[in-house]
Amino acid sequence: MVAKLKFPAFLAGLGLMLSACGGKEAVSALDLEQGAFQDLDAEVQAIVKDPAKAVEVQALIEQFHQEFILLRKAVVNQRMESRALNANYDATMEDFEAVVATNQEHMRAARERVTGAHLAIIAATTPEEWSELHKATTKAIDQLSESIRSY
Amino acid sequence: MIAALTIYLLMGGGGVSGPMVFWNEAADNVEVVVTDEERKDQVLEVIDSMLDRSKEHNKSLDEMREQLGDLTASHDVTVEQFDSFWSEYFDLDAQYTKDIIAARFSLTESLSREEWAAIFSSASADTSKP
Repeated sequence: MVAKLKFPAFLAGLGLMLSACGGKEAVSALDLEQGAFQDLDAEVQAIVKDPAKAVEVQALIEQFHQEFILLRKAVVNQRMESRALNANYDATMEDFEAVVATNQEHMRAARERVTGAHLAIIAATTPEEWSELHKATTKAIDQLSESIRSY
Repeated sequence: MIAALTIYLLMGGGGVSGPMVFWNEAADNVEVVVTDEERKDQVLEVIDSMLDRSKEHNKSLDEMREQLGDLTASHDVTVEQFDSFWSEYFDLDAQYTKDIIAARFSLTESLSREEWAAIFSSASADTSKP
C-alpha cells in the first residue's frame, strides 16, 4: 500500500485559512462575527430595562467584541508560530519556553480583562436580568465558533 | 449568552498550547518518510503517546469548561472564585505543554534532520504569510 503525504491536504487547508484572512471568506467570517455581536446588542436592549445600564452593558459587550478580534489574531499567530518552531530541527527547549511564556502571558492578560468585563456586566444587571441574559437563546456563539474555525 | 461568550473568549482559542497539537498529520507523514521499520515504530509510539496525552488534556478541559460554565452563570460569583479557577487552569495547561514539548524533543532524537524536514516541511510553508 502506498501512503501519500498529507502535504497537499494541509496546503489546501492553509489556502483556505489564508483566503479567510484576506479574501471572500474573510468577509463572510467577519460578517458572522458582526452579526453575532449585533444579536447580543439587541438582547441587551431588550433585557436590561434601565437605559443607562443598558448602554453600560453594551459598551462592555463591545469590549468583548474587541477581545474576540484579539483572540482571532492570537489563534492564527500561535498556530503559525508553533508550527514554524516545531519545523525547525534546531529549535531549542529555550525557544519553546519563550513562545509558551509569551502565549501564557497573553492568555493571563486576556483572562484579567474578560473576567473584569464579565464581573462589570454582572454588577450592572439585576439577578433577574442576568438570568435572562444567560438563558437568552441566540446563535451568536455558534456563529463565533464557525467564524474562528475558518481561520 | 454573555456567560457563554466569556467561556468562549477564554477557552475557545484552544488554550495556551492548543495550536501545538498537529501530530495527526505528522504520523501519516512518518509512515512514508521513515523507512527503517524499527525506528518508525519508535517514532509512531511517541506520537501516539502525544495524541493520547492530548485527548486526556482535552477531557480535562471539557470538565473545566463545565466548571467555568457554573461560575459564569452565577450572579454571585466572586473574583476569588475566578482566580482559583484560572490558577488550576493554567497549572493544567502548563503541565500539558511541558509534556508535549518533552515528547517533541524525544522525537528529534529518533529522526534525522532530513526526515524531520520531510515530515514537517508543510509547517514551514505555514509561516510564509502573516
